[in-house]
Amino acid sequence: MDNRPMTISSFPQAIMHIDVDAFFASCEQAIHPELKGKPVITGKERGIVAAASYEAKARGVQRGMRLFEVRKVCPDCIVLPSDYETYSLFSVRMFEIVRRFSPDVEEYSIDEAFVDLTGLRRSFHGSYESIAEKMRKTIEAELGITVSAGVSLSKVLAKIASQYNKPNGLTVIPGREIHRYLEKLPVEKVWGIGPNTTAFLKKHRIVTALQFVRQEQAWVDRYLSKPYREIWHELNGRSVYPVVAEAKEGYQSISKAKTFTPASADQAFVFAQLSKNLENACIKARRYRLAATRLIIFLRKQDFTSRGVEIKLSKPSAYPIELFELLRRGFEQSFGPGKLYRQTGVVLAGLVPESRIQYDLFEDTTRIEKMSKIYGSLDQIAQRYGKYTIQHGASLPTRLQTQHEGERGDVPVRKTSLLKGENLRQRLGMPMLHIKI
Amino acid sequence: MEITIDKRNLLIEISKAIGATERKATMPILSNVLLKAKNGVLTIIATDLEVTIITNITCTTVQEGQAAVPAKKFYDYIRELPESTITIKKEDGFLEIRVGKIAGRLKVLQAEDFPKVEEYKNGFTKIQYYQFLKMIDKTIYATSIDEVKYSLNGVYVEKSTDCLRCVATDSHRLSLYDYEGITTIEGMNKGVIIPRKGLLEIKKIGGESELEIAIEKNKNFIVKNGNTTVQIRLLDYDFPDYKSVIPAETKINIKIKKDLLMSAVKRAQSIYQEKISRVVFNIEKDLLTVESNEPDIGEVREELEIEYSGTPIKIGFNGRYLIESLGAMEGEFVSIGLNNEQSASTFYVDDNKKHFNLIMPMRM
Repeated sequence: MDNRPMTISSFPQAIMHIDVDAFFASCEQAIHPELKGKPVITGKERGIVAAASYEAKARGVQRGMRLFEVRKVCPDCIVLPSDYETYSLFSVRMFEIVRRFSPDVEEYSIDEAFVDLTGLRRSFHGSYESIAEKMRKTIEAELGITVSAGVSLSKVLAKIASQYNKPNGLTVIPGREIHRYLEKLPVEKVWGIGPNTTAFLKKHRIVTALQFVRQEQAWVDRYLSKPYREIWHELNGRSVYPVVAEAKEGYQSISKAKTFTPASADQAFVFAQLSKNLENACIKARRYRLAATRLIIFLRKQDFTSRGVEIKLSKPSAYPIELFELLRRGFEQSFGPGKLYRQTGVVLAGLVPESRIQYDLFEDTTRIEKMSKIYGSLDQIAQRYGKYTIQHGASLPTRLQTQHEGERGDVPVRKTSLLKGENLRQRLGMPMLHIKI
Repeated sequence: MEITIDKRNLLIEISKAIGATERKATMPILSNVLLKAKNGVLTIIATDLEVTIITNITCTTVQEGQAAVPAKKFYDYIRELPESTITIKKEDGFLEIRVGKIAGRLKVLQAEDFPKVEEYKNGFTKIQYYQFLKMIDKTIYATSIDEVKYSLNGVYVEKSTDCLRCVATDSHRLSLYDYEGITTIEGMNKGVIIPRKGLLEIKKIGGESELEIAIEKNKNFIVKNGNTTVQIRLLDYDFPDYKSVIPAETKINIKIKKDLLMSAVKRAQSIYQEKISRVVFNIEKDLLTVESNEPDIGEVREELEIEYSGTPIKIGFNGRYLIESLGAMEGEFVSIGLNNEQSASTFYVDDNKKHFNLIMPMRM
């Protein structure tokens, strides 16, 4: 075996990656202690597995599986509707704990974070390993969920490390140990390397991550594009991707999609879902003072095939009323009568600052000003009385959906057990423990 | 069908026709050119049903007939042949192309499937090629590329007092050009909208001195350019009432050297990352300040001297619209007329307003 280390320094910088084990399912087990140790899955309202606890995974349940398939492999599985409110509260709390250790925290997703630990050994009087372990234990003690973590020299390596020992594990890969961890790792398991690159590397007889990092720089520069050259550097222990600590400010695009169960073939209902997606996307765009120059819509059928169209806008907009005609046109191009649809979505792309609003020669300019005022008021009303207090008429048929939900009882417990003074819109921002006495 | 023909001449004519072929697979026959040999003339026809190009070239006809061949492949193959006389022959579902010992054959499609194309036979109006080009270049940039706005996807042409008027707008800006050389087009009895794509095709084909143009039954715009005829299907929509948006008068009027303003706007525009930029004109006493500001990138500010003594105004425009309009106008000075920061502003170089631009501002 090729035993040369990639680098001889242990930690020129220390990057940690934290990943909550089976996040949604763990949250459910944390607030319903009686579910601990049992196979639990969430996603009931969508009809597919959104997350599965390790107990369920051990029985063969996988993410994205349909519920009837789950019942075959694991009949005693506990299926719960998603309670995103609780999950996001757990997420916020977890990041808050992580920030007690280092200010350089990148919230990579709802349950994943990168943390730059470089230089913290002195203040914590211990190794990077002990800092990471302390962080893991604190999260487990305070939130009742376990996390897997990895510490290494770069983000890509830290991610490999956190995957190495799951669940509830910690793996530390110092510089001179890197090659040992890459030796058996298939190259497609490396963060950022997809099927196409894997296939390409296979043609060059590169199958493991170690074979990949052992390539000469000249080879890498010649055959690979920038993102893969960066991964190559990262795997070599040279950190290229910084831990981006700031909260997200700008957006490239805003997308809003929603799955509805049961699937529907009702044209008005499916369009209403799309219309609601558009309203929601526009609300978010206006909140960030952005306007879209492209509108993408997609419809997903019951058999998971989807169709979408992209429409160029003649001027930037974040006002649904200006976009409905195009939305309708795109919808009519994509919708197949008689087919069952399960999801609709809208993407606002090519975002520009909202201030760049172009007046129109043939339209009354005061109309644009009025529209801007109307939507300003709508946003204020929504803030005060809840999001759908005033909706566009086209979205109204979505209200039928509550009936669907009722039939299947797919509402999280949190929404059915309200405390005094709470309502469906406004609730206390804390996860509720459900203990049966 | 069997002909002999000079390779070089054939290549030139195919390259003219090829622009009208349709590359999308919706109707495979449209990616073909139709070849028709008769009486010592080879006619090449290409169409995407909106633009049709018919071009004629002399050849030696051994046997009359017709064939439809894939345009791109036909062109690519002919291009690689040596400069010589070539023989083209249709046989057994193939088009055989031969030069001495070099022989190739291309599969042909049923010529009968090719859309019927009628050649226009009536009268024409003559116009200088460069004048016609001017009419295109002074308006086409303002047409809309937004497919939803059908009526704005072309240049509107109508009779006006002692001139032929061309108007284009994408509803954010408008360009109007009055050509005084002619006052009407043969066959024209009302305003017509000539689609942008067809006009670009005419530009591509090129020409030398004189064109002949006509309107056929309010349906097609015909341009005859030597041995080549382009038929463009007119857009059958109502053009918006452009006259109603042209301000009768403007309260704030300034005049400035066009090149100076153009360079300033280009510099201001350069810092924008997105296509939609906002270049601000800040007009005060004897001073025009051109400004731009892109968050995260930087800002630009430039002062230009003008003669002005009215109320100050600050107005923003899409930089691209300014650059395209100023670029198309011929003259040393540009006159700018404004009413307020929310209404259409006028740009013109000559006092007769033969070429006149209207730009709607952006929100401040």
